[in-house]
Amino acid sequence: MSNIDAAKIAKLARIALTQEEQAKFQAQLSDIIGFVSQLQEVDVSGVEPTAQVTGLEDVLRSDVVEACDEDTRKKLRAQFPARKDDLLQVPAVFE
Amino acid sequence: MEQGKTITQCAELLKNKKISSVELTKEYLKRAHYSNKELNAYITICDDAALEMAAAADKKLAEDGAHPLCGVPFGVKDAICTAGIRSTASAKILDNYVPPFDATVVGKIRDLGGVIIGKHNCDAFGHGASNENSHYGPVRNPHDITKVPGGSSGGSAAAVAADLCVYAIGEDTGGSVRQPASFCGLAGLRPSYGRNSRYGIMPMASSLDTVGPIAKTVEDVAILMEVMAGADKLDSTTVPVAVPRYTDFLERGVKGWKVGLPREYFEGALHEDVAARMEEAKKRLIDLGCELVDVSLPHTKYAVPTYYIVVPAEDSSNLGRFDGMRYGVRSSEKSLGDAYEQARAAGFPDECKRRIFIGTYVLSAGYYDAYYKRAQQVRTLIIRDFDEVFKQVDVLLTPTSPFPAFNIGEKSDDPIQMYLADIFLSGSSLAGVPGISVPAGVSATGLPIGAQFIAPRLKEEKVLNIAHQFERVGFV
Repeated sequence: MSNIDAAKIAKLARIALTQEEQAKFQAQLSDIIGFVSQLQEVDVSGVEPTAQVTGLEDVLRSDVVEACDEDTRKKLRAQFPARKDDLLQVPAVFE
Repeated sequence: MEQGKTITQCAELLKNKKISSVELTKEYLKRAHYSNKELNAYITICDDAALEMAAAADKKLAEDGAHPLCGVPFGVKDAICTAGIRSTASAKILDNYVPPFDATVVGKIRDLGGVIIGKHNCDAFGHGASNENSHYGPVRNPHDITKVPGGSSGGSAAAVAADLCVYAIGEDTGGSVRQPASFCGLAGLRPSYGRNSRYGIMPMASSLDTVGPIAKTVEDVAILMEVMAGADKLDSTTVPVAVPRYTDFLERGVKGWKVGLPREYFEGALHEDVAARMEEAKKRLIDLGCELVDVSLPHTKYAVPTYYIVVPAEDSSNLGRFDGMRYGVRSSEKSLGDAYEQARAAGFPDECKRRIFIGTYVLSAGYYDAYYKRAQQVRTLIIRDFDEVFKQVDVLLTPTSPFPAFNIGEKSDDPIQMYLADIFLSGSSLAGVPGISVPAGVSATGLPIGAQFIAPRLKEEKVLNIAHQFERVGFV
């Protein structure tokens, strides 16, 4: 079952790998998948999966827009890696 | 190693005007700058911001009724956002990131007059048990600089142990507060899941992440928890349950308490000094009038493998947002796809990549049921184990770590050995129950060893109570 393909996974995860890194991760990922595969021996028939442990359900808030002051806006914009005036600039999606 | 000042000692000095917050802060800034060359505990030391906060604190202190945290210098793990102070999570992808807001827990402390002196190095995004997975270099253990301080909140533990700050705010997903606290001879608490707000914490595994304090005494931990705990509308997983006055519980006797010893935590390959300190810990508890009870958590051996499916799965989703587009460090590649791939390749250390890859794999079509869903089912069995033992006992006692601090470089090429360092911490993390690590003595070579107390969910006062009593008889 642990036929993990590091190159394919890295592509899906949007992380570039060198040939050397690919070989290293391939070996490490196979070992890790082998290690976690020991869960296959546990009898889980009829056991509900746990997604969270708080017991809280459907925590809602009112659907109202909360204002953001100009100072915070300015600080957020200051984090943009590239900008044109007050707009965030990104590489073209379509070429 | 000489223990530095505690919160209660600083509060006393400040209240009686023996020292001002500005003076105290200057002293700590000097210590932090001086020792950082050797320990590498801080990524950022924020002199100017700290002195501003200290001056404001001194004004508060001039009036009556200042909180014990007012004017006291502390440090924050760099994976926790601090307004106006660079927060990198120890990864180059956020090398230039300055959050416009405070994490809720940090904001609460700042509102009371707390003084941030800097940001602590950690395993990037909280991934690790040695603080070697940082783009800003490994942190060294102040008890022996050839050893790791533990991780992921390793810089925080090293800084508190070396008295480069009075206390620290860390983050514990699977042991990241408790294990470094044990390696550095400190008290560190992982609260129940949902007890403290995670708003403003760099997300790692959302169904496990918690924020907890690292301090020199259990009393300091209790003071911090009174401030940090409570519901937050910005974190919908926080529970609307009143926060007890934890400090009121510390002096209560623990006579007659049933302390469970889960046999799976004692029968494995424990380092001989850890085993010896645990025998002494049991004797201390008997002296306190506790009754020791042999119990079992039968799914213990599956906790680490369960953790390393659930956590990477959630990690891979959470870390998807970091691509250098809206903040952080962008790649100069022209095409969008290449820009993502290069920014993420350069911006994440290897352990982050491994987790993203494992998570991507276990969540992919065809594998989800075999890995992620199955791990969630085993998680249910692990939770049931804890529910069952807490019908029999008040708290559990375990070693925090199977061994004292290991050598820098010793496990860094072997991810699975590193994962197994958290073998006594993963189970309670998955179950969402609180645990505290407290000093239980040292090894033959003088390295700190920690004991862990675990309580039922939202019963922080129980672990704080027994840990405080345990700490006190230790010093007799």
